[in-house]
Amino acid sequence: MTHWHESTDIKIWFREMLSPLHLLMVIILAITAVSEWQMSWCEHLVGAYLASSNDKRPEIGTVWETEDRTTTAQSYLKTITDSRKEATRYAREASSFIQLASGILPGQWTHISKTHFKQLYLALPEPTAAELIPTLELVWLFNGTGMDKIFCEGKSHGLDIYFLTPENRVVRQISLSRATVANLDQDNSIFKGTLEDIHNFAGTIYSANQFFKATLGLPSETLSELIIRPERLLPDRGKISRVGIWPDQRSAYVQMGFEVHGSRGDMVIFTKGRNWAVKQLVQRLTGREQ
Amino acid sequence: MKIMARLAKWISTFFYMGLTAGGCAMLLLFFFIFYGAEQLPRLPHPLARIIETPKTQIYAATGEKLITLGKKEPVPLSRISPHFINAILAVEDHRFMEHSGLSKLRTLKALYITLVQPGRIQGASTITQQLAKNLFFSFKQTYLRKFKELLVALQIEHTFSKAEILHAYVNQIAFGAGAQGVERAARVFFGKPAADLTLGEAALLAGLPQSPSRYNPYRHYDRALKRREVVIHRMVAMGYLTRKKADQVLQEKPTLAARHADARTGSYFLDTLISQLIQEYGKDVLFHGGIRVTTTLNTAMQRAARTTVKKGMDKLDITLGTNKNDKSIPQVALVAIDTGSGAVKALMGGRNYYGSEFNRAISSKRRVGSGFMPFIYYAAMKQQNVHGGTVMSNQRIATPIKAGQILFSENPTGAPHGNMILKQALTLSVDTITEQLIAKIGVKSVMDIARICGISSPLESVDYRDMTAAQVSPREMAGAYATFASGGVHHDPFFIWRVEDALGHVIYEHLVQGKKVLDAATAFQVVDMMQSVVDNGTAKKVRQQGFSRPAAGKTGTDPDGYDAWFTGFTPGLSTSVWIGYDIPQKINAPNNTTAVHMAISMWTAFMSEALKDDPARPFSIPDNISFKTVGPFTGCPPGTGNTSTVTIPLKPGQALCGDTP
Repeated sequence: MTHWHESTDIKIWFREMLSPLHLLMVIILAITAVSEWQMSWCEHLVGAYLASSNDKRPEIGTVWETEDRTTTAQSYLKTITDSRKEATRYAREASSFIQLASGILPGQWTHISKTHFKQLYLALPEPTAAELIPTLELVWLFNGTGMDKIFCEGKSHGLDIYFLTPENRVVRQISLSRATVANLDQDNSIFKGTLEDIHNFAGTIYSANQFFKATLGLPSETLSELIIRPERLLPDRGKISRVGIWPDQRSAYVQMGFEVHGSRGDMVIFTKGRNWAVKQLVQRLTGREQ
Repeated sequence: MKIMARLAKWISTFFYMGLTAGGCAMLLLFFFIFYGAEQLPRLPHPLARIIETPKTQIYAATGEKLITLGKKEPVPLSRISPHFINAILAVEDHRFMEHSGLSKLRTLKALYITLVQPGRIQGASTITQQLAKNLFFSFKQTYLRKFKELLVALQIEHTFSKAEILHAYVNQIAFGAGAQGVERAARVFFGKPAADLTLGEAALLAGLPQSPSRYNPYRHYDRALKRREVVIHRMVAMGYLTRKKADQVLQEKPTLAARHADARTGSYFLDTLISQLIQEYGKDVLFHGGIRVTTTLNTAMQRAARTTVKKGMDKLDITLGTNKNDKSIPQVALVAIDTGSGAVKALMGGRNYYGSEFNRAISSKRRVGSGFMPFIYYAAMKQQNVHGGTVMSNQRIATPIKAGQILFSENPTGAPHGNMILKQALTLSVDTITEQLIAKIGVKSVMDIARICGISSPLESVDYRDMTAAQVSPREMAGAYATFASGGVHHDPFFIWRVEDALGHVIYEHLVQGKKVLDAATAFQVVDMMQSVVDNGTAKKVRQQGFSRPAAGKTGTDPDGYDAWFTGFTPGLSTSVWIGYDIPQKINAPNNTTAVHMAISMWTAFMSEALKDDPARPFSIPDNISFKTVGPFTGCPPGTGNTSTVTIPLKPGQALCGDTP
């Protein structure tokens, strides 16, 4: 068979070249090309297809990275503010310094009102309150300085409380160490062990007999100040065998520990006494009474 | 006929080959589209949403906004000058309203040029393609990236209206100088909103995106104008402008807004602050977190610092005959710190930020010379119970130093030889007496005092000369002297008062907590001596220049003449000024004191301006201080007719003239 373009006859050549099949193909191609040029249907088609699969595609590229950074930044800031809000909530709801200290974690901080601080302070037993900050100094802070706000900051060692002026100047700072907090905690007034385990009592441990004998010989006004919270000793936890006196003279109160042997093992129950009253007792115990 | 047949055969072969190749290409294209689509980025809805970045705002302590960082806030097209819209369409993509993301004519032309003229690249990107590239792709030129960019452009065109595309484009496009988006560009380059751009300004801006650094009008104004000419001709060709109007606009030369040479902050203080914020919170929070930072900067004092430094250094240049084109020119640093809190109120880290960003106030550690004497005197007074009235001898002395060597010292300041009281010795900066003090108390005592006052730079020394050669920064000096000013209470210098998030929640606030590090009475005795330096001693130029407030300070010069210092304070503000070269070299002044005098002059000019609205107040005197009058060389109460007297503050138990207290 001879192809149309192999023909030597011009008529055949033209006839074959302009055959319906060839013309149809050319027309289709021409329509396709012109319509695409004019109407851009190919672009629309591709665009439509891509739009249909948009939700399945990843959030990649410069602008998404920028948004990621914004999201990261805002979530980081939210963590900080949430943490602060949480500390503020705990602080607002705290009805004791123990709750305040346990509610504000290391790295967290918040402000508490002066009224709230006063409430917490007045809720403390007198000796404990005076150890935290002497009452007279607190009166001076509240009335004699430009103190305007109280800032509490959680630290690894406990809680720091700052008394601030409106310009954020620290007028006074107090630290509630974990040990102090533990002392504030009523449940922590009991130590599992013996007096020897608490080195502060070394050299000042007396037998219960010796202690009570000396005690009962004291005048009644001294007795009432000797053990500030005697109710701690009343529950039947066992027999008091020895008493230790913490010889720290810096505060107005002296720590005392009563060693008890009971069914639940050895324990030391802490209580406090007025410095001057305990001093009289110690003089009797050591035989230095004039 | 044979020729016809051969031609027909060729046509036929090409036709079918073309058809087959076209078919294959189509198949390949569809393959890429279907399988490559999964790797394309997702488009956000609405398109401009992700352009928004909350702004971080940094304020001065005095309330003025210092800088806005990371702000990207799209403005609607209705708030953009139509001149700009016309100009950007004319120059970037005049068929924007007609095409579907791809300009076939331009693409074919670009393809032809790329194939026929290797090495020459013809851009053909439409605005939509540019938008796709800017939003999602890196600037690395690859064929695959171009193809992906095209596909995304097609999707953008299919999904969004032309107005939305144009809105996104003009709001994210980069104009250079840190300006992204037309609103920011209009504010950076012309100090006005995009809505108010004139035709000339709009045309200039529209020419920048093609090459923001090449056409940066701050650096290459003429180039930018040439580019604007192209834009205007395009606008004429597109029918946006008449020839007459174009000629008129071409005569105009837009005035650029001042102080925006580029994206830099233009401030040593802000650079330091930004570094601190990045260290504390990270770049994401700073540039994308929308935080609000209140700094310690006092804008009036900062203005005073800038003016003082400029005037002072211009004057010094004349004195030294400095050629400003030289590679190495004298530099300066000035730091002012609030003595009661440690707040950094003003800071200049060099003579011109745009000339050199190196922050000498913070990062440069330079030899402080006799500026270290107050620490030595304090240590001696505390340890030896000596005081300002104690008599010592100004004489050539031998001091044992390292490796069994002996150092013989002469006093270079020209102070009279013989006996004199310590107050006189500090006033006249007598090195030999300071050396004797060091020999008595030991270097470690001095280092300990410097440390507790806030000097944190390394101070490994064994003898007096090394001691005064301690290398510290102006910030350290201002902070350490502030400790004396505040009666021995040290506050760490700081830059940030408060940081809040976008909703106003406080995430950080600075608490001012001083640390009592020096004995107040002894610190006052040192301050009294330093007042004498300003009143009668090496810094008396302060008084000669009319500064009458209570002030104290100490000059300092490097023994080799490389560094000149003056650090001084009033009860409320401590300021340190340093002058020298970045690469240490002798300040080639007519005499040794020229540079120090310039440092004193700058200090005086700055303090006069910075404190002009504050009432003068004296240094507070501790209760246990009493005053006695003595002769400057005898240390004894002056005899009848002796006019030269010095007042000495004494602590309880301190005696004069060899008496027992």
